[in-house]
Amino acid sequence: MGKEINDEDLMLRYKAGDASAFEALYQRHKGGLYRYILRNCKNEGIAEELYQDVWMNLIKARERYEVKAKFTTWLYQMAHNRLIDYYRRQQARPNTNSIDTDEGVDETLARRQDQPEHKTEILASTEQLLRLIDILPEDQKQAFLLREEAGLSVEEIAEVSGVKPQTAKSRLRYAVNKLREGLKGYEPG
Amino acid sequence: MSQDKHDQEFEEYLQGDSALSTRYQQSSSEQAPPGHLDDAILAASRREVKAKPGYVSSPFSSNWQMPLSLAAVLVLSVTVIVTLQYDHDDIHLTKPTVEQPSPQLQQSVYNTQIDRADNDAQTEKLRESEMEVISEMAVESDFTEETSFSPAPAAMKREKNLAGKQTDAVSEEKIISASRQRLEVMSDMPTAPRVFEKSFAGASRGLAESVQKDQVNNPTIKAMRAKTKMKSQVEEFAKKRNLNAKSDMIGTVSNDSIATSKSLKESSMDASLAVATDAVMGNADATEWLRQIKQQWQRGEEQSALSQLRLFREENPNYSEDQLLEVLAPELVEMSKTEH
Repeated sequence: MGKEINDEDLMLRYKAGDASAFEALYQRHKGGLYRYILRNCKNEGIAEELYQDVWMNLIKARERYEVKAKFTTWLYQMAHNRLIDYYRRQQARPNTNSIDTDEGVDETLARRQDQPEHKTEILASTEQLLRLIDILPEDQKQAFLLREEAGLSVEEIAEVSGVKPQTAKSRLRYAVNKLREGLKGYEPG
Repeated sequence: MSQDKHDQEFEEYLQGDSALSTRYQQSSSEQAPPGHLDDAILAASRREVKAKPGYVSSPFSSNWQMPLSLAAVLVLSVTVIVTLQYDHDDIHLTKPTVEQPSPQLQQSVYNTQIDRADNDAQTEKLRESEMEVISEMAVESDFTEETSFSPAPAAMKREKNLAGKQTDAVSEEKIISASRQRLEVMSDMPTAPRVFEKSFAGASRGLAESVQKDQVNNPTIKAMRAKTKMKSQVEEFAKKRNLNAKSDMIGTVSNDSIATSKSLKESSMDASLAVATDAVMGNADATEWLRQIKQQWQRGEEQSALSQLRLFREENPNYSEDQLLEVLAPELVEMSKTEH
């Protein structure tokens, strides 16, 4: 089995005119990017629109592409910027301020877990996990999704988000702790 | 205790082997973009490639642009500076210089002038008196500005005319060169400035004319007689003004004759005499000049009288033919008119 071509080389090949290179890149990243956008905007229709915009922007930026950073970082940075634009236009971005405390989420989770009908709704831990992600603060959610969907390191998450690595790490830490706490009642077995 | 546990779990999560990550991957794997979106995006990517087949990165793009630009600016600046410096050096190197004569030529000219001086003591006396006259004229003049050391235009004009027709005399060019060399030797100025060299040229032409005149009938001496007369007048004027300036004042006058005398004094007596003679001749009394011409004509010195008359007519264009006929023979006037 041959060595897999990395993202940067594929993008350079696409820049040179190889359309198949783009298809390979697309197949690698389409699921993660789509979910990253969907989890953030929470609307399939809008997610599809934003998702298509991000890929179209990448296609247009083909001629300017230079290998200055990891391709994934570049791709998700475009997606992050597109989401920011969307939030600004909608003026509906919830929890835009970074919440580095557990207080807000904990209260929300406690309320939901205290509701009997809510407990009965959640049949599987995976569904619970997705719900927990939905109610995470945006910054923490972004950090977690960038880690899980794009596979970015703390430093790369910081680069995409435009913050210091310590801040990105803190956000990720809070997100992980909250999700773990929220899943305690749904541990398998 | 709880904090430590959380930190440990978070480190495990960052290592990538946590239950949370596994569970998230399981929950999200089924969610993917719709097929029509995939098709639209892939079609767009192919259209883009067809529209713009490919971009090959230039070896000088981005990373190389800045250092390459700086290097180009540096090279251009150095080139300009070096070029300007080179041109500046060229300007200094092209300063005017005076050619050095050959020793043989210097000796030849020197011997010639010595012989002439010995053979004509009277001429020497007249020369001295001529210099004094010129000095007195400088005193008389009220000009105080420094003058250029060029011969009188009138004298130069006459010298030019004579030089063109003296084909049977010693070569004018030889005399000019010889005069220049001798003047430099006698004045201890081996590298005289060009402005001084101009006066040498005029003086040399005067010397050529002087030699030619000596061969005919030495009209210079005759001219000196008229100048001597002028000298006495100048002396009287100077005494009245109680001035006792002679050669020291020469450099402060500005008319052509005095300027010529200054250059002559700084060069040689022989050459200066010729130029000074011409200069004074140009300013001499026209009537006296005509009388001399008449005397030459009467003595049978036709050529000399004719050349003098031509000069006279050039110097005094306001003199009508009738005025000339009052003094000179009609034949001479007619000859000067027809041959001119």
